Amino acid sequence: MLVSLAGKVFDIRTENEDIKTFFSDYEVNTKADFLIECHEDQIFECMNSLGTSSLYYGELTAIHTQIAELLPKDDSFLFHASAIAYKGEAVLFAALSGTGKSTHAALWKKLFKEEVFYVNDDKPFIRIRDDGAYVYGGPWNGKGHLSTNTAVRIRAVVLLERGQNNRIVAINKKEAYPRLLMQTYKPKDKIMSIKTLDLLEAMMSKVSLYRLTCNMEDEAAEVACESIFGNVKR
Amino acid sequence: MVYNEVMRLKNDFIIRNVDGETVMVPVAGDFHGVVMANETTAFILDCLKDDCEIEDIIEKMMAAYEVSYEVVKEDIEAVIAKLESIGALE
Repeated sequence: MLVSLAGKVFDIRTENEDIKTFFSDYEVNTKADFLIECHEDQIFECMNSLGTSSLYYGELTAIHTQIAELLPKDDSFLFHASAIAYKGEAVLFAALSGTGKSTHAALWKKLFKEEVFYVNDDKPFIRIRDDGAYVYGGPWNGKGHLSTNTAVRIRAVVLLERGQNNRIVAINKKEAYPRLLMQTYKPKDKIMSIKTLDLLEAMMSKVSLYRLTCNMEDEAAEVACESIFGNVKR
Repeated sequence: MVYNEVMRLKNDFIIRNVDGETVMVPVAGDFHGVVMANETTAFILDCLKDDCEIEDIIEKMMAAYEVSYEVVKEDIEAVIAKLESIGALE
């Protein structure tokens, strides 16, 4: 089947109906840029490393790996974050798992309603273009399956930390770099890894960077939105 | 630490420049364990791109910064020990 991911078309060769369903929101009918075909040994290897007997998860992981490994040479990469769009511009919330990225993104949705939509709540694709860094929805979208098949220019990337009070500060690239790297897919291939560093550094140059210490009250999203977008009128 | 030992940075450790700051990124496993280098560390990392001994680095640094042998030696030993502890040298 032909699937559009990160702005390119992948010809995913699979016989598994559940996998076809997984990608169905992203199916297109145009010319393929890349061929994705997983051999049995790759699928079994993924099942082994996942410790699962599910052929579905094995094959899906093998497909995921193949796609993620070739993206960097096409100026894109996989990034672990919750990405929302507010009035047409994207904000990415990045943090270690369990910090509450999705919880914070949900606050924005609750407060700003139709002005906010989810681009991808877990593993969006990032593409670097001359006019900015763009975030793409995709099928690896977290527990809530919150994703939109679209691309949005990124305005800000926010490193999230839990705290008692809500406080947001602009940070420089040096502070953001190690923690953004931890949320970036690292290809097995060294050349692709270095290309990924180029792309991550390009993304940092094209967005505003913040550190947000926040609790789970509505005020957390208000404080963040006000700093990132200026005065908020609700 | 062996003094006449020739060492260099393993090629699984990539040196990047982020906003004028030297950063060392491991690319063998995950992108974890990034080292943000201060000026001394950046200077040493630059030396370690090629084969060298501690004495070579001491000499270069004394020439560059006009500081005493003892001060330079202590700084360099500390940095080399850290690099060794994270397996960045060969």
